[in-house]
Amino acid sequence: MLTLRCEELWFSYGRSSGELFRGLSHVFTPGAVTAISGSSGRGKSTLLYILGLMLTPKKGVVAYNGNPVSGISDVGRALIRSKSVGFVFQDAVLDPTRKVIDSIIEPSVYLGTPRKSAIARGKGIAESIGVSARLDHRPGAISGGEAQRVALCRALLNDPQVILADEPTGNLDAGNSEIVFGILRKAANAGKTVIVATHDPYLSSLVDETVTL
Amino acid sequence: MIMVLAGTICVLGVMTAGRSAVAQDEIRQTLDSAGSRVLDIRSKGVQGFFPQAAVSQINALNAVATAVGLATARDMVSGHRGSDRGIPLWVVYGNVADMAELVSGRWPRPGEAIVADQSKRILGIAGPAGFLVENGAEFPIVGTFRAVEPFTEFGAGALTVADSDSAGAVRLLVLATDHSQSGWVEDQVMQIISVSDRSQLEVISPASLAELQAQVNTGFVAYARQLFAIVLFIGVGIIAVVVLADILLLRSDLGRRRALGATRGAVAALVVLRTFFPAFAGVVLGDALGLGLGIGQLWPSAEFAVALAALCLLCVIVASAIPAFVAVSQDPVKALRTP
Repeated sequence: MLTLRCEELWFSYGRSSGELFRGLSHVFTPGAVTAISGSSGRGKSTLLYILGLMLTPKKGVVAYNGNPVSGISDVGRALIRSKSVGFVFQDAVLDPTRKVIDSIIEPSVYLGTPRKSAIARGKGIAESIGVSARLDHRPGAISGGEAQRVALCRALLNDPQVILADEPTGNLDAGNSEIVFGILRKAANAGKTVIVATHDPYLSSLVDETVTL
Repeated sequence: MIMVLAGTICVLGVMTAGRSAVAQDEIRQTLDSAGSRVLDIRSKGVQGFFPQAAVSQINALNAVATAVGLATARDMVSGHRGSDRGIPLWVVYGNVADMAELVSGRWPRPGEAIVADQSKRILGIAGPAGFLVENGAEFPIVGTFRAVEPFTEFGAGALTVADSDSAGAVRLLVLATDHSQSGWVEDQVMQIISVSDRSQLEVISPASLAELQAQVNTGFVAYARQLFAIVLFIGVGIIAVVVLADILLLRSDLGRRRALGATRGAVAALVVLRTFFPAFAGVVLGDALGLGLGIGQLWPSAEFAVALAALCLLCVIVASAIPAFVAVSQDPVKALRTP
């Protein structure tokens, strides 16, 4: 299990924009699903990307297992992202030019995992999530719900300890939303730290903790 | 698009710089051939203008491959047959072996002659035998020869060597080691033969050919290179713009890669490789097409084609470096959130 915490975070997009966070601190509980909620423009996705080391806070730290990592080098942050973080975006953001299986195993490329073992693991996850029949299709040939499940497969490929999901059910109907949340819940039950940025009241009602911005 | 651009640059490279390089090389080879390095000086009516000593002095110059003096040709006939068909005999001041290859027999001493291989039939001889006569003078034939460049005009006659009492030559042929030395050699020769009045001489100089090559170099070859440089510059610019446009279209793709763990270096490498591979294919096809279009005309060497391809690929890599920098500099979060 990995402990993720942020401490005294300050962040703004440039000088002209106001501060999104002024000293935000929180410890995210491993094994729980945490929602980051708030109205539009309050910085839900921004906080998610700061936690995923894609953005650097103006002040404060993000610590993985107690180690401050928000200020380390690009290579170090990229390594943490590929090893310990799984991202799920609002629209699945799959590579439209490649097959579904190739999209699923993409994080393994950056971690240096051999393709053969990555494919074997990718197929296993796809089987458990119910998209194994679609592995040879292109993203354009699958539904939105399937695409989001494929994105979840991709996020889980490297067995990350942190899953960051940005409005993962934003484009899905109720049925698919339940499936997707079920997968996230299962990941949390396996000890992973799952953080979901959402303004969906239904989803917010299902989580264990909420950080309101 | 990249493939077409890189291929077009290569085709134009072969057809401009490639062909001009071949043309330049052909001109250089022509100028470097022995016939184009010969300084030919003839005295107008003055016998013995070029003494043996002057020929030896000219031969000692560093930039001179060989120098020979020739007396006025004498019309000789075969002593055996008493034939009325004659051949010219030249008395050579200098090393006769520089003018000819010995086919049979031996090199002549003063008073002996070697005859051109092709003159044997005229003289009615099968080998180095017999003698040449003229007004009672006899020259035993001791060998046959084949004239070498640039002395082939003597290839249908006979040669003998001057003795120490000979009066001197009326014609001087000086072969420079390199056509670019022709001007210097001419100056030195003129100093050695101490000519006060050049109207006494008829000079056929290769110096003007050397000047011609310089003009060729600074003229159309330089123009072709400049043209190719412009093509390369514009081509590289267009490639950079195309790759940049590609990057802007792929913002979300690059943002996703960064989120999934790609480093900035990996993204930069991706951009460069995405450009390099189609460019490589284009360069190979362009090279082949350019060479194919040149069949039957001027055809650059394989080394040139490879060097051109390498230059084009290098330029493509440089062209993709700027878009690669843009790709790694852009905010991956903004890129990801761009619809």
